[in-house]
Amino acid sequence: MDRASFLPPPPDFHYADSAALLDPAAAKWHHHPYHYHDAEQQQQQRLQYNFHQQQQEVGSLGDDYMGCVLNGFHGDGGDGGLGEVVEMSRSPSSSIQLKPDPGFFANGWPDFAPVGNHVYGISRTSSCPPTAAESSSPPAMETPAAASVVDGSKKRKLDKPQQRSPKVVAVDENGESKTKKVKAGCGDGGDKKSSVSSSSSSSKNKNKSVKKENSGGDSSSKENNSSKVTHEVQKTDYIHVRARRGQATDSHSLAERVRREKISERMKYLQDLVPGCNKITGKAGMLDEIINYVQSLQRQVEFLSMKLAAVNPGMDFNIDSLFPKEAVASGGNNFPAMGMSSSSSDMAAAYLHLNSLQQQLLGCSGLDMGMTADLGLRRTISAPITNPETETFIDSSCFPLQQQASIWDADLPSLYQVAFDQARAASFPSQQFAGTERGKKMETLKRSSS
Amino acid sequence: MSATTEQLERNFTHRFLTSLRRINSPDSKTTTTHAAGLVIRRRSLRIKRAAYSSMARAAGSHRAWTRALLSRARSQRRRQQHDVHRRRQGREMGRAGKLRGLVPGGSRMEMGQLLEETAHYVQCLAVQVRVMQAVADHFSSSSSM
Repeated sequence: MDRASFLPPPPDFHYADSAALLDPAAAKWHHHPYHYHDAEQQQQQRLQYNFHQQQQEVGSLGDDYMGCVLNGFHGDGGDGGLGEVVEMSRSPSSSIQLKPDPGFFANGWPDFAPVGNHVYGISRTSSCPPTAAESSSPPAMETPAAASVVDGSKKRKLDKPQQRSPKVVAVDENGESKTKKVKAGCGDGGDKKSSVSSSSSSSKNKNKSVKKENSGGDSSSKENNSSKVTHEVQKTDYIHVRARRGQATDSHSLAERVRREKISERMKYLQDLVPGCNKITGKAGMLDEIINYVQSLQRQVEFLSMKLAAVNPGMDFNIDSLFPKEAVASGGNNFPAMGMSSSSSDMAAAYLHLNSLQQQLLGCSGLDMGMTADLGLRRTISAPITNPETETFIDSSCFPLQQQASIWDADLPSLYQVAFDQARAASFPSQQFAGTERGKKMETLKRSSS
Repeated sequence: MSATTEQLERNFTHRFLTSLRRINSPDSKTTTTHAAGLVIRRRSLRIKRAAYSSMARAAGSHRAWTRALLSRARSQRRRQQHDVHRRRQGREMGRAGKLRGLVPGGSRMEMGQLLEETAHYVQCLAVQVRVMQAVADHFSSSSSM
């Protein structure tokens, strides 16, 4: 065996064991007449190189062995679907229908003759840690063992797709690629019973080349799977999905699952946004909460607009002064730049208003007026209340005004949580209103708070 | 997140105050020809519309709901009441349908996009309420002085 011909394993090549693992294999390969029809150095080198770098090179080295390696490997253009997914392990007699990705195999690997038991022998002797999980499943036949070995390598490949080739199965390229992305790694052995990963295209293009994977089925069926490796266009982007154990694997259910996971992810995000949703589990309850929240916010907007309409006429001259100040609401340091649009005569008034408003909006640092200003603000705050929860929203809106300094740092969710908690302790003040609508709302408020 | 919220708040405040000024200054409309209550009602509607429009503009047009809001505002201005209410998604019963009704442009979206837009919409609404509250407080406090 010529070590010299071996290319040095890439730095990111984790599994050093496989190197040792492959040596006997290489040796065997060397000697075995089957694999090198012509004892071409080139081929040998390529072969060994391939062994070492199974991750990138998906070559059709041999039906079963490399067939397994090729499973789910490659990429056609980034997330390219596993169009060229290779089929796993079949009987030695069958031949691999491999159309290797041209990007990968610059040298088209010749289709090796069926190896026969040699491969299995080789693979069995190899012991790769990643395959420990795989080998836990009793291999019904030899091929599963080979498959498991390959699995480890496959996972490796999936671990670092990008470095090898841009067309490798992208673990998560698109924005869509959530969840299912092959969680490459030997860690999750539970799911990795099957070495085949199925991919499902994004909802955009239904061009799927799904590799049927029988994850829940018996292991023996694995090797009977033989799907054509179709040459897929590289430029499509797919969401790579791996069917989990015991789940349906057809393209429709996979797409469904992707969609469902997307929705649940968004629901979780919304759960953080809407205050008081931590205890609620379940889509229906969450949706109800969200709807209530949006409705209450919209009601507040309407209420505030009514208030502004009632209050405004006396405020004309203030708006001008207010305008520049509010425009830089967050920056207290912008004070000097404030009077850009107001005339000098208004400056004094402007600064006055600026001051008060700034205190409200910016919550300037000395704002431990905390409760007093809080109550003062609350007195002027009139908000529609239909349920206790909306109280929190009102209070949350006044808190930000005071704790501005912290607000800008804190995310909205945490802010509302604080408000939520504080509101529970606080009693809702009564306010004076003018106008029928507000009076009505006041009544409902009183009713609910009583 | 807080930086964008800050920026959004500033942007919205700017636009909102501008439109407030525009609404309040031509007081010819608010002459005593109408009852006081009506005046207030009408003005409040304008303020509300102005608030939503300025928020939609401040949030940017890369969001579906902002586009829907602005196009609704535009069509309403021209007195044509386009009812695009249930165009795409056939009236979905239950909660999802309610949510679609609440979020502008929701009837056209599918569930995943609807939830995403809802999240952004909720954030912007919160900012809007906050700013409007501050403005209202300021006005009411200075008027009461």
